[in-house]
Amino acid sequence: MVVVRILVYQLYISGLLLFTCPLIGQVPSFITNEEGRTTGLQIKYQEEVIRSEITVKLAGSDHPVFGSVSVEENDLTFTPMVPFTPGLLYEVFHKDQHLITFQVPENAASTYLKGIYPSADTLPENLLKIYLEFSEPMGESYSENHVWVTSGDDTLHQVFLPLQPELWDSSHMRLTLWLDPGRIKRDLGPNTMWGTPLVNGKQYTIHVSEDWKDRRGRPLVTDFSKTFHAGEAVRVRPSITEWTIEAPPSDTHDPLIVDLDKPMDYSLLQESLRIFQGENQILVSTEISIHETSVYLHPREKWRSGIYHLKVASRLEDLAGNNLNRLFDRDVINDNETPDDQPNHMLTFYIQ
Amino acid sequence: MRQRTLLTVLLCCAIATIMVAAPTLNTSGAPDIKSVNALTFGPDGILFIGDSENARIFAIETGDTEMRSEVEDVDIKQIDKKIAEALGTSVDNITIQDMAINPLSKKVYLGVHFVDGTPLIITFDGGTMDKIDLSNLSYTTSELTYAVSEEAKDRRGRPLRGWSISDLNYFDGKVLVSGLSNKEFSSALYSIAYPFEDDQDVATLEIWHAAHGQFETHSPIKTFTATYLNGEPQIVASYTCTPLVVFPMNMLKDSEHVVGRTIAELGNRNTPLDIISMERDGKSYLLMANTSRALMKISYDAIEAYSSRLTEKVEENSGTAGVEFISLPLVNVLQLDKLDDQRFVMLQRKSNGDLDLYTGTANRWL
Repeated sequence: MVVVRILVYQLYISGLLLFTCPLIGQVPSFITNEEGRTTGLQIKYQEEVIRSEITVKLAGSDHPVFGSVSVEENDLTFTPMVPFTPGLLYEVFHKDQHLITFQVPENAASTYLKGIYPSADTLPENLLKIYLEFSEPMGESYSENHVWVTSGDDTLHQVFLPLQPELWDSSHMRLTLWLDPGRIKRDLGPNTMWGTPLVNGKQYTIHVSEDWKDRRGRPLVTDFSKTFHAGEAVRVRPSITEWTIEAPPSDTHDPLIVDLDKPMDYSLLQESLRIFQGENQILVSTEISIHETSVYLHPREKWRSGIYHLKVASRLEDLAGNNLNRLFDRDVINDNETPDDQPNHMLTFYIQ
Repeated sequence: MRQRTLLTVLLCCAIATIMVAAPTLNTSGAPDIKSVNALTFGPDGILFIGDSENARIFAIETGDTEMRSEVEDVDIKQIDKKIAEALGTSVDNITIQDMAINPLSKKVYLGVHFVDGTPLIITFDGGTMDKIDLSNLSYTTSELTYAVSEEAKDRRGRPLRGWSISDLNYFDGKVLVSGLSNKEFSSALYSIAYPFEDDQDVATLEIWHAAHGQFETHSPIKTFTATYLNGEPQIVASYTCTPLVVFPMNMLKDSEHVVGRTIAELGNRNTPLDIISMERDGKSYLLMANTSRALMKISYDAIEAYSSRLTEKVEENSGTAGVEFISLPLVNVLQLDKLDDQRFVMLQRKSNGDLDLYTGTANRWL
């Protein structure tokens, strides 16, 4: 829905305007869209003006802002190609004559970083991925300008794999950052040259700057940081036989609780677990516990008594990228493990 | 020394020719372009836009068809600041996605994304800036079949959507598009006849990555050019970490999985950004811009003479192998395109932080 707001913008009206211009003495109003972004400027006029004679410029700029001018009855509307940017000063001209200067008010920042995953305080030194989850869609810019890792007083370099386009989910609210796989996989060039990004026993802090803009061009509410310790590398393939299932009673909506034995990948967990009774899939919503060590599966319908199967997609990974079928970084000489190729792994449980 | 599993992945699969619904008659109006990830020009002022968000190629009639043989050098300082001012915003709210120069008029076209994702095309005719009105166009479009689904993720669970188009070129009546398909082996090259027809050829690709010492199918081509090598039409493509690979175009049509011939390893921890071809004194050269390395010049004579393929891992850190290259004293070049036979245009981040668009000449740099 489009609404017109009046007098909420800071205006500086030129004195000359009152005497020489057909847009006599009018206070402009502003058009905003449903996101609260200013998408137009509206001025009432009393004489006929040629649309091309009206220009809007950023204060101090020689180039007119791209946009279109439309006239309807006594309203002259300037619609910029992209919404006006909060905080910047704009000037409106009729031919070469300055009419007004206005400033779009800053929208209060409301987007914040909801969390950094994995959420545990100790993470393996061969950690493969970090997820940043925001409260609202983020803008198109480069994360490397806004995310960095420190250890003590040192800022670390070449921690994350530089990727363009960046790995946002479709909502643009979750960004996946890869710790450089070339440094994690043993004996690859980057690994032998620079070592792993994280080293067992050291403490690290990942920082996210509030300057990072959201999709509406607003900075984040505040800076964010998370401190963690690097622990031993994980080089054992995760196995669901180590998991324990706490089955709820029948005729309830109580969740099925799956204890994962060790932390698993936050994003993959949300889509890797499915429950079947016979051929029928039981619809559940997935809730992940803090530190990603257990999952609560909430049924939409009450549980019925009987035998159930928990199918787990084999691509589910632990924090080091080891999935249920194979290790991310396998030593083929000293490791006897044989990769698996089944698409799912399965556990059986009973509800009484 | 340990050995990794990396040496063990060698695969084959199919290529498919598939039917798609693609209009062949021009439509007028707003084509609902959602992103401008890649640009290239075809005949008669047709601008092809690679739209990853839509997984489509749009062919728009720019009407920019006046042939101009002599134009002045392009020289625009702080081009990002100028574009931002014309959009009424600040530099940090825009990103330049790609650049194409109309071979007829020599005008520069830039694909730009606003911070909210709004796609824009900004043009420069000499120093005069203008924009394309994407809400009122005459256009045709072709949807990429096997496009990466919106929720598709790679083997590590990474979302793949943004990779569905990495580059495109027009060559011998066809639009060539590189990127990911959602087939089992994901690196793909589309060949679509223009004017758009119902058929697309989608070849899946595989390369030997000498820096990593493994075969790769999941990494899409980052940038490529199409040319004739020893009389045969070929794709010369580069990937992240920077293998240079040749694919014969006649193999990209039929139902085959195509294994490229890796002819050079140009160093790891680098991503190629753009490739063009230029000539000097009757000799042809490939120019390639990179994220972490200088602008590279490679002789097509050397590429044609290199008949073997790299099959061994490059052991030395950041080492190179295969066809030799020369690093030109031009760093942080982000975009390239040919202005005419003697000149090319570079978008370069200068040492003072400015982003400048300016002209280089074959006589000076090649």
